[in-house]
Amino acid sequence: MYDKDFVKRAITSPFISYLSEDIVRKELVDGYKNSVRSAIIAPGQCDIINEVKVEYDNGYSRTGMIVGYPYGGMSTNMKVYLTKYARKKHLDEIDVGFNVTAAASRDFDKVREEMKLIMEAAGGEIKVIPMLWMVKFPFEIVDELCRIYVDLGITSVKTSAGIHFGRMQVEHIEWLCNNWGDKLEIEVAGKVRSREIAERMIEAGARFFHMGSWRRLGGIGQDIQFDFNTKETKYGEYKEAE
Amino acid sequence: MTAKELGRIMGGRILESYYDYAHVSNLVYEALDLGFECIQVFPNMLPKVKEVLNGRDLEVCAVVSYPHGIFLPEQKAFEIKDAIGAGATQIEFAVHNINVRSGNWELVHDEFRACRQAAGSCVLKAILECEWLTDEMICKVCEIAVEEKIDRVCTSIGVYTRPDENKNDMLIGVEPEDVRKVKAAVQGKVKVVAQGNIDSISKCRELLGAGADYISSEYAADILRNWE
Repeated sequence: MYDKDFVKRAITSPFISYLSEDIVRKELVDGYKNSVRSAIIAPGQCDIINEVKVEYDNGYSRTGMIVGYPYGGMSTNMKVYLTKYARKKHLDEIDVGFNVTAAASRDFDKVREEMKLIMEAAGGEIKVIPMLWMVKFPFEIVDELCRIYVDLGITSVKTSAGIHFGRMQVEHIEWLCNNWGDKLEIEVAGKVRSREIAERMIEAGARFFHMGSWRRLGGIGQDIQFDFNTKETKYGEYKEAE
Repeated sequence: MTAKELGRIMGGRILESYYDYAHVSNLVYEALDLGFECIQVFPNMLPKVKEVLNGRDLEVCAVVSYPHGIFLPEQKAFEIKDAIGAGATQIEFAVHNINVRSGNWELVHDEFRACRQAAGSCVLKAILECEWLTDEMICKVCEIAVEEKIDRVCTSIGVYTRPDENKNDMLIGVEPEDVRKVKAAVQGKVKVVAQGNIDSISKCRELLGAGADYISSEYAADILRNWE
């Protein structure tokens, strides 16, 4: 796969706490310049992403905001409030953390009820992309979540977050595509660290990749690295384990 | 320090994706049985906590703008008021550290002020995330916490990982040095909560030795039951 094609499948999300404003802006600007699929921000960053979009819009890259990400531990009221806010700011999509506690308790009515309210708040004007937490949940729960999402008219899902032990595997994507690939577009998130694995996931049916390492995997540069000694954040070389 | 005394400064927390309603109930019962100072939960767990408590007294801390903290002041204020309405008696918020790391101190002031106002008389705690901050940043944020009358500052979020020498993920935890830095910065005007992967009695002792006023841990019950 050409690097340019891979980058068009990338989703960047500069809202981690060890960033600074200049790096956030650079990630968004470079994302647009390189035509990433989406740039996802936190609720406090809507103005900056809209400014960048006005200046660098390429007719392809989308703007998005997280809602209840990643644990879904916010109340339904707060998720609805944030959804309405994202809609007011004319963003293209929201990445939603579902009610993980309810799902873990197999209280799927609660999960459905909340997601329905979020969809209503989105009003068809903003695309809702909920998570699945595939690295944590058994397929039985993931299956039920997918069923709920499809019933509610959702068409894309994000496989996990990046804040966890464990990584998304090709087998996760194979299972998801085999069971729901005809109804749900798959955005992979969850510590995908190599181009080889990403390409195998594409073969298995993945469409897009939400990743901090989009530059390195896309062959266009180095990613953001945090130095725990100096507490500096800068673009630098990623070293794989030997 | 006796286990009972430790309990009075110990918070039990369940802030992860694999906890279900039974875990929430269990946390409440452990807290009541062992005398925790508080429990820390997601806002979506508050109805279950209220149901299990059934009128009994327990300080319930809801985490807001968690874990990233990158929210506008009015968004944090909304979530705080919503959580208090659902039964929270304490609030813990993740600080907007992109503002901190960018030196946007007026915005940090605005954030803390909005949270203080929204929280009213509830205990209000700010999560500093020392793991990402230089000593100067820690000092400055603590100064602002003092000025804006935050009740407690917490050292860490406790959910992020970093690679070890083999590139395997390991949890970033609080260290005694973090507690010492924060204690020095607040100069006794704000209480300090040691928080972040506190998984053993020895770790707990080290952090108390470094001056922590409170401890917050997923392993609170184990620590208290085995404390000598």
